[in-house]
Amino acid sequence: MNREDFEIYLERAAKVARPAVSREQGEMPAPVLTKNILSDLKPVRPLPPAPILLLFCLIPALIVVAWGGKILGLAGWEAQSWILRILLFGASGIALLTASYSFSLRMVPGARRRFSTLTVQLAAAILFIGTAAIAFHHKYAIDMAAADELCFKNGLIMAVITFSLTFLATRRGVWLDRLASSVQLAALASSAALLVLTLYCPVLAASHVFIAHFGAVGVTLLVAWFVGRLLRDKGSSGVSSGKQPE
Amino acid sequence: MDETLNSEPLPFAEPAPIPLEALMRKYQQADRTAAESLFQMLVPLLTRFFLSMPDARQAADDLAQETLLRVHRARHSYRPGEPLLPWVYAIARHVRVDQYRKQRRTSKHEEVVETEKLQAQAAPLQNSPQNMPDFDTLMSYLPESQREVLRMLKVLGMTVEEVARVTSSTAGSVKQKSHRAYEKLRSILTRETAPAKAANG
Repeated sequence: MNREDFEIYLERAAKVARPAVSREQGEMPAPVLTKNILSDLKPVRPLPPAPILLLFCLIPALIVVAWGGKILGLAGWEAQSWILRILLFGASGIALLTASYSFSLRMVPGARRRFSTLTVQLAAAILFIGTAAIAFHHKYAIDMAAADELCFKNGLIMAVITFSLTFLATRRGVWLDRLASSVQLAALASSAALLVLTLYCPVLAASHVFIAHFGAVGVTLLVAWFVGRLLRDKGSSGVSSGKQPE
Repeated sequence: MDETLNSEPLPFAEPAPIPLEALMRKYQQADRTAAESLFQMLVPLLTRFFLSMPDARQAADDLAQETLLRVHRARHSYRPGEPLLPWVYAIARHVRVDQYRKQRRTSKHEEVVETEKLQAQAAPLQNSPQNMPDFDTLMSYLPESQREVLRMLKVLGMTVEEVARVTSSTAGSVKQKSHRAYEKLRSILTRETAPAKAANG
């Protein structure tokens, strides 16, 4: 069957499959339902345009990064060369931006997606991991287990704070897919945590970065996945808006 | 289903003086008349949407009503200036997905029956070009993501951009999925109809 015949055949088959709506089905919803829905009709303020929503997602993360850098210090930044700074902060910054963009789109049903955010996030992760694997081969005469634990804890704290602040800032969003939204918010929070850890941690050892820094990222994503799945399975009865519309 | 409105326009939809987006804007401002008019226009569209999905066909009316409830709760998330239908269909799509999950959780046995039905549908096609399979049978050969995209494009007549918005993906991804689905279906049909053509000379 050539392409043209196939196209014609598929069009015909689809036309036959086009559902006919009966007169009863095409009528107004039951008056009781309409009455119930429209009984509490109040004016609502629409969500702001896409760039503003992106800022709502991005600003809490940037605040946490700035605050984390201030309280924990910038020893990591000072220990890195310029090329390392460009690669590591470039990769985690792109991951943060992309996660914020993706999360802001999830707030609005039917929002227009301009590029595949997952591809960009994976590319950023590969760039970061590749850079750490190649360039971080220093040996340190310190207790690595203690250093791992400290960075892991700090990473988790930063991720939890970012997660909570962003959730509060975006609570008017409509989360149709709670699992995907939860994971995307965790990706945003863990990108911010990774930025803070890269800023402050002077231990340039690949094993430390993979265990402690990426450990915090992994745990955040995993917990968000479990919570998102739980919420998705529990809350299938309505639109999961975190806050009642005004 | 004797009296269908597939070919003739709906009486209340004959002239469309106010676009859906304008009605939605008024609905957001608590205009009850606009809300009622909007619901009148959305019900047949939503019913058609659910009727086009085999797993949602039986409960199409209920799902359409459930979608209206969610549209009401999420009405603040519609941004003026954006097209309304992808926003509504994105909500409807999740209503369908939620219903499917709920059904799967509550009755595992029914799922087995459904799977058997699908497997039966995916049985070898009859190799006579005159006796070509219908659209639902064809769709049973495809994975869910490709099936959904193809139904929206071909049965519901949405554009690639609209399907991308409804399925939270990019236009490129929708094009890729539909292309893969076409290629798969074409190769199946070619394989299945070739012996019949050869036999007919």
